[in-house]
Amino acid sequence: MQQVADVTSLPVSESTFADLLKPLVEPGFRLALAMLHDPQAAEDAVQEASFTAWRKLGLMQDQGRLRSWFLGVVANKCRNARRKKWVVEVSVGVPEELPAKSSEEQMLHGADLRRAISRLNHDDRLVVVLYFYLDMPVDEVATVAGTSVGATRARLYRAIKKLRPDVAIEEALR
Amino acid sequence: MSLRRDVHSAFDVITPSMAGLSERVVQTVLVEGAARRRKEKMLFRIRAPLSLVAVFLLIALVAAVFVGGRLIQDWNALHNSPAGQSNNSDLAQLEARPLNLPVLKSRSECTTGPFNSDGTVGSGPLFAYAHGGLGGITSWGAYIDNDFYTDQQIAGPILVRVRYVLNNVTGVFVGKYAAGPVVGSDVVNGTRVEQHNELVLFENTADRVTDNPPSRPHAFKWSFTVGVPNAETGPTGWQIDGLGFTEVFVIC
Repeated sequence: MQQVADVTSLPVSESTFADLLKPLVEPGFRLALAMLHDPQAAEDAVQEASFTAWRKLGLMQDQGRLRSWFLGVVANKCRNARRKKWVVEVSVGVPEELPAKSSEEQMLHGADLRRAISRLNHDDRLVVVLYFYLDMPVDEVATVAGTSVGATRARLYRAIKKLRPDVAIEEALR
Repeated sequence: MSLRRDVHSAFDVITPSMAGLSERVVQTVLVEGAARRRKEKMLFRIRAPLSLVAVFLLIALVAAVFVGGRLIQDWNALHNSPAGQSNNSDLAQLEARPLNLPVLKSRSECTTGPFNSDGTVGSGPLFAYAHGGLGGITSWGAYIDNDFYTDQQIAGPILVRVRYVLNNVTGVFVGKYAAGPVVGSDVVNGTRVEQHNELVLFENTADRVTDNPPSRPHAFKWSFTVGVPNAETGPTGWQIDGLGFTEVFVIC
C-alpha cells in the first residue's frame, strides 16, 4: 500500500519544491562526496535523492526535519552506490589538481585520513562525515542515521578510535 | 590540529566547485521528474500482473518439481523393484530354464495336483491357493485372484510361468508381481493393465499377511492375478522356478 501512496500522491508545486530543495543540495553533495570520494558519483547520488524527494516531499508531515530526512536519503543512495561499484583506491588518493596553498605534507595527511574514513563501514563513516564534516549536532546525526543519540555517540567514539587511536575522545570531538 | 579541522581539510581539497549545482539538480528533477513519474506509474500498473505471473510461475515450478519427483520415484521403483530386475542374473538364469509341463490331448487326461496336507496345490516350497476371487471380467476374458504362500525362506527371485496344457498356449498375469515383456493390455474395472507372461516373487515383496490361507498362518504370501482369455478355459500347468528348486503342478 505504501507503493500506492508513493506513486499516486501529488507532488508539491515546482516553485515550492525548488525553494525547499536548493538549500539541501550542497550539504547533500558534501555528504555524498565524503561517503563516496567521487564527485561524479556524489552528484548522481544527490540527483537520485532529489528525485526521491520530489516524489515524497508532499507526503512529509514535518517539513522542519526536511534536511535530516534528505540527508538520510542521500546516505541510502550512497550505500547503494557503493554496493554497485566499490570506489577505486585511486579516487580516494591524490586529487588531480591541488590548491596552491596545500603543502605536500597536508596533502598526504588528508589523503591518509580520507583513506582511513573510506575504510570505515557505512554507518561509522556516515556519523563521522555528518558530525565532523557537515558539523551537525549529535541529535541530528542520530536522526539522519536512524538511530538513537546514545547509539550514535557510541558509534562516533568507536569510529574516532579507529581513525585516531592515540587521541583522547574529548580532544577529537572538539 | 583537531580531527574536525583535519576532516574538513581532507575533503575540502577534493571538493569541486558547487556553483550552479543546486540549480542543475533541481532543474533536472523538474524536467525528468514527470517522465520518471509516468514510467513509475506504468511500472506500478504492470507490477501487480507481474506479481501474479511470478506467483503462477512459482506454483508451476513447485508442481513441476513435485510431479518430476514422483515420476523419478516411480521410474526408480519400476527399475529397481525386484519385479523389475529382469536383467538380474538370477532371474535370467531361471528364465532360461525350459518349461517342463505336460501337454495333454484331452481334459480327461488331466489330474489336478499334487496336493499338500493343507489341501492346496503344489509340491513345495510354494503352494497355490485358489480362493475364488474374481478380479474382473472383460471382453478379453476373466481375471482371477489367487495366492501363493510358503513357510520357507526362499532366497532370490521366484519365477512363475503358466501354460494351458491342452494347446500349450502361454498364460498371462497382471498386477504388481507380473513381470517380463508386455504381451497385451486390457481395461479391468476401468483401469488399463498390462499383461505379462511371468510372475516374479521375492520374499521382501510378499504381502502383509492379513489372512491366513487356507487355515493357518504362513510366513510369506503373494496375492496375484492370472488372466484367463475367453478362448482358453482348459487345464493349466504351472512351473515355479527358484534358486535350487523347480516345482510343477497342474490345475484341471
